[in-house]
This record gives sequence, structure tokens and C-alpha cells, in this order.
Amino acid sequence: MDLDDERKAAGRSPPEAIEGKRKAIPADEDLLSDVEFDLLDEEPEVEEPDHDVFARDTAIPASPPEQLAAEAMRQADAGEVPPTRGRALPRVPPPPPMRSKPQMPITLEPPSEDLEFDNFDAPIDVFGNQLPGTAPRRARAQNSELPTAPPNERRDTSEDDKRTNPAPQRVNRAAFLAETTRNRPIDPALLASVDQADANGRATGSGPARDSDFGLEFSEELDPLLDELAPTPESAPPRAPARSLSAQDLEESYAAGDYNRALMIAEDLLARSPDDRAARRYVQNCREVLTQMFAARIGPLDQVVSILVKPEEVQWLSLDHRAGFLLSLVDGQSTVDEILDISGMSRLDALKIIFDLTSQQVVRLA
Amino acid sequence: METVIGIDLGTTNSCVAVMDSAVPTVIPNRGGYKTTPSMVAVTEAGKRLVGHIAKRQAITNAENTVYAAKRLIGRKWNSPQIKNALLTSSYNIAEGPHDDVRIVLREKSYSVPEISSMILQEMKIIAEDYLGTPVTRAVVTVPAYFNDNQRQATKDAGTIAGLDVIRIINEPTAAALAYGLGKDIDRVIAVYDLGGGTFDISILELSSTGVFKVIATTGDTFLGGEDFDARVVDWLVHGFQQEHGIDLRQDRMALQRLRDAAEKAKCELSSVRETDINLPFIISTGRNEALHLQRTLTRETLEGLTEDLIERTVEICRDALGDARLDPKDLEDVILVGGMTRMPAIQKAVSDYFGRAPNKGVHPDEVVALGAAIQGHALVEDKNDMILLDVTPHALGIMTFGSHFEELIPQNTTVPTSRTKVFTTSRDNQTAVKILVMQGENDNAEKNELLGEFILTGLRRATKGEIEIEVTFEINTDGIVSVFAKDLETGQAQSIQVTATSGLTQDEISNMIETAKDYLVERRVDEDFEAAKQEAETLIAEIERLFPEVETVVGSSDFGQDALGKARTVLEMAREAIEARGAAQIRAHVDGLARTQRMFKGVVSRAQ
Repeated sequence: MDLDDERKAAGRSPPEAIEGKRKAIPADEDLLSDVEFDLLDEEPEVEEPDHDVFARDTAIPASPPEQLAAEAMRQADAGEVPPTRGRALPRVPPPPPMRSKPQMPITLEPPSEDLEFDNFDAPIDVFGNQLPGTAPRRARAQNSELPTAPPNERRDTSEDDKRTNPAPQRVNRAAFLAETTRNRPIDPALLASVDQADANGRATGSGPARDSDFGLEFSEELDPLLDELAPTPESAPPRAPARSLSAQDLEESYAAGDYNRALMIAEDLLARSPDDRAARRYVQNCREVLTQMFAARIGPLDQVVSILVKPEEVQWLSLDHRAGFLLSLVDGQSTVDEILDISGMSRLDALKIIFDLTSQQVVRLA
Repeated sequence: METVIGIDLGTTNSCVAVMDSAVPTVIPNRGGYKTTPSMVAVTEAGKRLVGHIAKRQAITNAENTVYAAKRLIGRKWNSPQIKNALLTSSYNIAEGPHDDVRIVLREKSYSVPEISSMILQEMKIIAEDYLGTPVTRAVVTVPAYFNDNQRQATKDAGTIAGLDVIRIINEPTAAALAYGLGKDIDRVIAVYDLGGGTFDISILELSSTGVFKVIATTGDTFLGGEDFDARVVDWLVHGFQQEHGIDLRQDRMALQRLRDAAEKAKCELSSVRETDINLPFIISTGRNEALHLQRTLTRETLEGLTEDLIERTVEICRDALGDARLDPKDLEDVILVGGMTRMPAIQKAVSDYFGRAPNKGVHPDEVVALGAAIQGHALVEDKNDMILLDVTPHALGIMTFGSHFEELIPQNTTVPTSRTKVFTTSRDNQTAVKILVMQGENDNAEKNELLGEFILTGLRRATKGEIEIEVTFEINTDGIVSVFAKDLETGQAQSIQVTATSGLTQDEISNMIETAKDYLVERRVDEDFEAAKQEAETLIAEIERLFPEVETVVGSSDFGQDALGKARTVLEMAREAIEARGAAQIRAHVDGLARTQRMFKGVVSRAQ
């Protein structure tokens, strides 16, 4: 069978033929004029990368964040936990402040037993050991509260109480960490209460007051004053109107080592003025320092994460949907690092949640 | 003799197999799965993720996760498939320097073969970990419809991954081999391949001479398991919206969980009648309340949700048989390929249409890789009875007047080969002809792939049809196509050599090979470190556990104090080595740690 026969067999119509032969194409005829076959010489348009180092998450901070973290942790751990295995890092100054200001002392207190934090049950030290005097609880898995109620719902009532009745107790370091696990938008009412406390603090000449609701820690010098200033429920003043937190608040929080609050303020400032380079730098520095702090508390990131709670009991925990999502990534094989990679969240947020889940004994790292 | 691996480089999943003691065996990856998602992602930190880990973040990091790169490989920027991909892909596709396609991840541009090479490299690593020896040669499968450029691009991907792709074979052919077909038999079979992202139906004519002719192949490159998952997701989303008034699609994290759960439920329903989908804390309401999703999906519901998709595959089967001018009863076997064919409703639909129970003796998602491994083994063992002959995947010819495609070398012709045909001028006083070399089976030349073009000039002015031009096509053993055109009157000749191209230059490929090597070295160093670290940390933990007890027993003596001091030093040095991230340094301390551990155990056991 020749080719013509094959074509006929295939049901194709033969091209126009002259004397049994097919016509070739004239050279000047461009049969594919509408088809571009030539290789393109032009370079593809590529967007210019953003050269603003502050716009990049990987930009080098003004001071190495790990050193800041190490310094903050060293202070926090002083006299409280066994000596760490790692080498001591030299003390480094904080990043250039927006204005020069004496640095607030950071004095951290041992954990108190009488404080309750919804999302924090078992304070642990950097080795993951339970801190003395703190009993781990599995309240969320066993209590009779509504299963779908996230921690924030229950917190609101107690937070309101705390705002109007600032607790005289000192906030422990673990509680500080537990508090930082919440990535909440800034509540104006909450800010107002902070401002009020801030104003009170300034009135006494002791620097800004810090509110436990923000996971802040009181210095020993401040505590007596705050105890005196703490209003009783009956005499609680009306809430101050919300006002914007200032660059000064940011600077003070940062200088005091309160990176969580500094981050919140800096993000607020940045939201109001997206071109505020200093605020952007603070956001970046705070996030990096906090990330280092949480990473240090979690331990090696190559630890495998496993769920300790039975699948049918998970819904009885008190989690939000972000923690629920992160928990869904735990398969008993993936490491912390892998979960951070696939979480789609910022490293800081994911670390906070993992730390929180570990503290609640929902997951185990090994 | 060096092992040759067989790789099924799929659109959504890939699989690697090897002949292990003459038995074709699929190699599981580190997670224990026998297939690996063909996905590549780059994290915010710049880390490369391949396989399951990339899939698990595919929705939350959609713009930096490449899936279905196979739909793009070897395609030109202006092709309709790329235009379609531009509309549907979540990742950024850009034009390359050679009319090719690039994928931009975190501001870095990658060629499509480069992305595919990352998947092939992962398969290579899986095989090397399993075999314990380096692997450098592979047989890789491609769809039967892939043209030379797509095949060359797949080969280039293998080269970049550090693999010598000794043969590219068609997926349905590989499946037939895995079923043990083709051994001294002549028969016509159908290969029904419903994978994760594509559906292909191929009608094959197997001959005992070693040629597996693809009589007809058709399909839908946007029909697969993902569409079935999407139906389940829709069902879940709709139900949740009715119950709570919240659209879960608006939340990426929720959507990621829904997709994973839907796929899992779908797979489970192949073996059970119903399954529970339980997604606690799926979304927050904004009123400080997290909601759970809990539903039960039955097999009947799933079949109802996907009935039209199954019917679509049957319609495509009908088209394929029409192209092959065959009836279902003419087929002597039907092979199922692809994980989706585990679904009972699909098996029933195939049985009903073809009038015979499909052959499902081999795992459908492993069968193609197994066939590739069998072929690879036959090639190195020189088992002629199993070696497939290299054939042209598509017809080759030229465009003639009226945009007709004139075929010179038919599809499935074994290479090397040569064919000649005589053409004439189509106009009076025509002094030149343009030869457009094309590949494909369509009568309309414009619908086929243009491989190259050249002009033969200096023809004598004459009336149309008078001048005769002889056109010769030659394909050598390396698959290089040469086309010659000769004016039979004057002897004037012109020629072109067409080499399939992936769109990458040799320099680019060389650079990519180096980059891939660097990545591999880095990865191996990391793995080495992790292994050493784990070993050392286990010993350290054990020593630390025993330390207090040993201290109690021997701490009072000088000798004991000395021993404890030495143990502390050993521990400290090992920790420092771990901190310095040096595998060799850690290993240097492992002996010391092991001795200390033995000593401590001895002290403790004696004290008891």
C-alpha cells in the first residue's frame, strides 16, 4: 500500500494534484502569516525587585535578633532555670531607638500559681521541663465548657475584669509567652486601658505601665506602685477614650524588651503610615526577636511533632481555626521545621501556636 | 551491572520502580508512599519542597507551588496550552528567552524542564536510598501524544537531574508491559488511564515483533482525580454554608484542609461504603467561636456527585475507538491505569462500555513505573524479546498548497528510516518553494507542530506542475530528522536538520546540571548531619538519664569524680560539635559517647 492509498484508507481527502503530483508552496506565500514561529529576542519583562531592605523579611536587622533574643532570655532566665547548654552571647545594644531614652530594667519573676491563662496550662523552661510550682492541666480537654468556644471568648470576660482591676500579681515569664501566642488585632478599648496604665506609670516617673493582658512583665520596682494604683472594682475609672499609640510608646516598649507590645504598636503605626521606615524596621526586628525567643523555647526544630490527644477528643480542645489548621498538619512524621514550612503562616505565628499546643499538651515534640 | 530505574513522571503523581531480583518493584518514598506528588514549592525562606510536603502547602502557598508542570513541558510560549495555563495556574508563568516557558517562584525564574528535573531528582534520591547505590540511568514514560519537543524536554529534565534517560516510552505501552502483555502475542488493547489531573485512553496494537503501535490516543488534560476531589469539596462547602452561612472557600487554610479531607474520603470510599469527614476548628466565625465540620460521605453520594465526570471519560473512549475505527468488541483487553480507576463506579462504567471486565491485576497507580522498570532492565540485560523498538511518536511531513499536511513518515514507524516523495510547483513561473517541516496527524497542517522550515530557490520559470521537487525525510538512530529538497531538473538542493528542542540551550542545561548537583550535595550534607546528630543525641540523652544514678554510686571516690568529669567533657564536646553542624565532628565524638554510655550502664547494673 503506497502513501496515497494509506491516506485514502484513513479517509483523508488528497490535496489538489496536477498530473498526479501535489503542489509545493510558493516561497513568497506566507501560509502561516498569523502564526509567529520566530524566536523572540526580547528579554521578558521582569519586575524590578524591591530594593528597600526594610520591605524584605530577610533584611538584616539593625542588631542581630538572635543576640537580642539571647540577651532577653538570659535576663529572663537569671536565677530561675538551670544553666543553658548553649554558649553565652555577648550583651548587645538594642537597635537604634527613635529617640534616645534610658533603657527600662527587665526583671522577671518566678511563675505564680494563682494566675490562670486560658491558653496556657503548663509553664515550661527552655528545656521543656515543667517549671517548679506549676501543675500541668488538661482543663480544655476535660472541662465542661462548650467545645466550640475558643479561648478568646472566655478570655473576654476575664480580660475586662483585668483591665478594670489590674491584677497586683506579677506575671510570670511563661505567661508572657503564652500571651504572645495570640495574634489579635489591636482592640481600641484594650489600647485605652494600656494608655491609662501608661499614663499612670509616667505620672509616677517609673516609665510606662505594662498590662498583663499584653503579656507584659512587671519590674520589681514598678510592682508596689502598681499595687497602690490598682483600682478596686467599685472605684474603677471609666475607660479612657482610645488614642493612637505613639512612636514613643513603641520606643519605650522596645527598650524595655517588651517586643510583643512593641510589635503591636509598630504594626499599628505601619498600618496608619505605610511609609514609616522606622516602624517597619521595628516590626521586622520585633518579629525576628520574638521568633528567636519562641524557637529557643521550643528547642530543636528538627523534633518530630506528634498529637497526644485522640482524634475524637480534638474538638473538645479550646483552639482557634489557625491552631486547628496547624494541628491538621501534624502527622507524627513531620518535624517542627517542616510544619513551619508548610503552614503558610509567618514563622512567628506558627511558632507561637506550636509552643501553645505543646504547653497545652496537645502535641509532643520528640 | 548498573540498575536502571523506571520513572512514571506523572502530571499529579510520580512513581519510581526497579527490577529487584527479576521482580519489578515500586520503591516507596521516605513517608512510605509509593507515589510522590509531582509538586515543587519554594518557601518564604527559600527552601525547596518537593512531593508530599509541597502538596500539603499547595493552597496556602499557591503562588509558589508548581503543579502539573507536565502540561507545560516542551510547549512554546504562544501555544494554546500555555495560554490556557496562564488563565488557570495559580503560579506565575512567564515567557522564556527562546519562545519557551518559565515559571517564577519567589522572584526566581525556572524553566519547565528544571522544575520537572526537581521531581526526577527526588525520584532518583528515593531509588538511591532504597538501593544504597548511586543511580544514573533511567527509562522515563511520557503520554503517547507527546511530540518530539516534549520528549526532548523530558529527556533534558532527566539530564539536569543527573540521569541518563536511556529510553522514553509511552505510558500506555509501559502499562501493557507491566501486565505482561506483548510477549509473543498480537492483540489490540485499550489502556484507560485516569490519573490525578489527566485522562488518556489509548488503543494499542501489540505485535510480537516488539512494536507497540498506538492506533489512537485521546483524552482530556483537565480531567482527573482533582475534579472528583473538587466535587466533594463543593459538597462540603455547600453544606457548611447552608448550616453556618460561611463560605469556607474564602479561607485558604480551610480550603487546604477541605482538599486534603476530600481526597482522603474519596480514596476511602473505594473500599468502604461510607466515611466520616471530621475537620475540627475549620474556621472562626469572627465572634470568637471556632466551628467544626463534620459530615458523612457515602459511596452513593460520591457517585452521584461525579456521575457526569465518569460519563465524560466514556464519551472520550467512544471518540478514541471511533478514531481507531474499532468497536468495543474488537478489543481483547482493557487495562486500568491511574489511582482513580480504583473507584468502583469507574470500573463498572468501563466494564459496561467495553463489554468486558477490565484487567486490574496490577496496582493502577504503579503500573506505568513498573513497565518502565521492566523496559529498563531489558535494555541493560539485552533481552531482545522484551525490548520495544524505537518508533516515531507522530507522523512527519510537510505543508503543501492549501494548508494540507502531506505525510512522509507515518506514526509508529521504526527508526532509523527514510522516505521520499516528489512534489511540484503550484504557480506559473514559480522560482522558489518553501518547505515547512511538520509533525502531527492532522490533515490541516496548521494544527500540527512546526519543526522547521527552509526555502529551495533557483527553480526554472515554468508553468505550474512542471517543475518537480524531490523531498526526502531521514531519521537516524539518534532521532535526528534531516529533510532534503532537490530540484530534479537542475539538481539544485537544500536541506535542514531538525533536532527536537526543549527550549533550552546547551549552556543553560549545563548550568542547571551544576545547580542541581550543588543542591544534591547540600541536601546530602544536611541529611548526613541529621543522621549523625540523631545518633549523638540519643546517646547524650541516655547518658544524661543515667548521670544522677552514676553520680550517686561513684561520686564519692576520686576515681569516680574523675570519670564523671571526663563524661561531662565528652558530653560538652559532642554538644559543641552538634552546634557547629559538622557531621564528621559529631561522628568523631560518637565513639566517646558510646563508651561513656556503656560505662554508665555497667556502673548502674553493678550497683543494682
